[in-house]
Amino acid sequence: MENNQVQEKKNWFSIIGTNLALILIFAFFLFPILWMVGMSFKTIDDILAWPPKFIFNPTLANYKAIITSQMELRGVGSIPIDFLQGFWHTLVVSASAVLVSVLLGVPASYALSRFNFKGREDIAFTFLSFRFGPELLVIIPIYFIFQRINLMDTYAGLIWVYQLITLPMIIWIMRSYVDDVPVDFEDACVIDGYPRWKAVFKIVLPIIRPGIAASALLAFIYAWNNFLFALVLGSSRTSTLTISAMKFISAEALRYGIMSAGIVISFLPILAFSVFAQRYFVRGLSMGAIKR
Amino acid sequence: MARVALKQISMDYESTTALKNVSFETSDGEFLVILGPAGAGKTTLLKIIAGVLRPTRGRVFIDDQDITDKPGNLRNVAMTFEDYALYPTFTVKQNMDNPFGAMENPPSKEERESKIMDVAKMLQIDHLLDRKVDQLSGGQKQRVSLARSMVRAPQVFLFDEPLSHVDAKIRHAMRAELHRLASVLATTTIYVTHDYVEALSLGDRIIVIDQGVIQQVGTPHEIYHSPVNEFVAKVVGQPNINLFTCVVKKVNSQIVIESVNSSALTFVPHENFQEKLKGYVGEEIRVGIRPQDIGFTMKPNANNNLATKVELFELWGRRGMIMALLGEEEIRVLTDTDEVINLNQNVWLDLSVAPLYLFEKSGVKID
Repeated sequence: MENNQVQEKKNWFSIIGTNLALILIFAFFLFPILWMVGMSFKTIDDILAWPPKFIFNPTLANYKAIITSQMELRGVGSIPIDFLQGFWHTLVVSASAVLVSVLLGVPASYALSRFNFKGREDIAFTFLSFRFGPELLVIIPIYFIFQRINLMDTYAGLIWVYQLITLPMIIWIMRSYVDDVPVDFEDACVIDGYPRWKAVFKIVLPIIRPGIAASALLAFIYAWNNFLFALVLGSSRTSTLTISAMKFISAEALRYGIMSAGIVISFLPILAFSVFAQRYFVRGLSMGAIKR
Repeated sequence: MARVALKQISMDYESTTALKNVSFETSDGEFLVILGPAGAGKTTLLKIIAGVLRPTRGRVFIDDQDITDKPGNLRNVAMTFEDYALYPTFTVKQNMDNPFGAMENPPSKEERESKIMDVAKMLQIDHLLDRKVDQLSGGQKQRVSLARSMVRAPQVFLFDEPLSHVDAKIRHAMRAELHRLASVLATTTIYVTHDYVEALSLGDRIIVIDQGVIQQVGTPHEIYHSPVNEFVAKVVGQPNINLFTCVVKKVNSQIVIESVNSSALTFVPHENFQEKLKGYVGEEIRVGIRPQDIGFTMKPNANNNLATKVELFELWGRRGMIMALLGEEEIRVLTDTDEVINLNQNVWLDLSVAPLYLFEKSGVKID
């Protein structure tokens, strides 16, 4: 009985302790984001106030500027900004890059998982190694190549170069995923009378669908956040969100408020997407990771 | 109905050889059992017949037609897998319907439904048709995988360890069921198992295979009573056959076999063996005796002349196994006594009436 009470006390302690620690960690990581959301509702005076203002009169002026694409200059009129266009550019480039990667990467991962060909591991490793090299390492040669073949500032060029980010991720996640699908399923379907490729579409594809969703989402986030490729290889016709956000830094002013509003708008879709796909995500990634 | 023939089939993997020069032929409508331990190459053999694996060497024939180069989907062969391989995203009904979808001239929807219903009823899974695969028990999965192979009329059934993952009670019932199905369908069947009871009870003929090499082909009676080597002798029978290393001696112009480990264990072989063993005088051979052939009493009498000590006793209901120690030799004896048997007590054995299985030192039967 006494023992039980001790146990209970200890449980209370550990529950409170764990939660306290979780709240602290949560606050630590969430603070910059919350602060930024706060900033997006502040006037520039409130943002620059010292000591920092936790309580302030919220304003929607920053969002208005983004949505109307007009940035007010104090008393002297307004100048146009292209943030929403950047949003559109990012969406097109990231979504297309992921689509291309899924179309190429899923068959590739199937081949790397199922077929035993010469140089299989070397090829797989080469794909993975695209993720080790810093982008800065390859950006200059790519810049010259793109100039030579007229891919500068085009969707196609950015989608192509984004494959460096999205393709390895999809191939590696999907490979372990396909590894986990027993070959017997396909064999059974072949014996049922279907040619191999049909068996793959009919049986394997539905099983690995959560994995495709998870890896595509992850690749999408990385593509969405990319800065360097878009900065160097894109220009006005393809400038992405990350580049547009930078344009709020100019010689005469740092527009923290509008910048914050822009960033909030740019991460909302990803956030919504992640929350919506969370179930898929955890299951998708962990299922592929567990070896039987 | 069809005859399956394998000619000189070999299968090499990167580092191992799964099958070496395997050849056999079934007759029409035969129930052929392939018996062997794990890793013997049994599943590889089935997959080669099914057409999902290509043999490294050798040819596969069905009804004298060479189908080695024909992909699996064009052979009219049905197979069940050890892990069932039921499609997890499908319902039971969709699983069973899958073979119809691949047909060039699929039967009408009504025909399919009625066929599925017939088979489901026969295997008593008609109440499960709308369930997803992960909602089934092992025995039910087993039935569904059988059902999927039976909805069409294949030339050959291939069953890969169909009963190994279902629990003992269901296994018994399913074995009886398979027996019945085999006679109803009368389709050529190749059945892979590691369980000798399944093999002996189901097979018209049995092929014993070990490490990719066929050891013996024969009727259940032949496999049990005249194994061609030690391996086959060990594979069938529970408890395992006793195998003693012995020396052949000649005493007063009679051949006598004496155990190396215990001089008290001697055999005087029957007349027909006397002649055969003459060439082995002075050599070591292996002598096999099945535990159920050994007589035994709690007290000595005229026949039961070998005094042994009980080292281990396992009781399975009314029957049991004694591990008796004679010198350094362990002897397994099957009993059906009601008496209480204590460890370290003496029991007396009679080996004089037991048939002897004689093998050369290499394991090959002395013939």
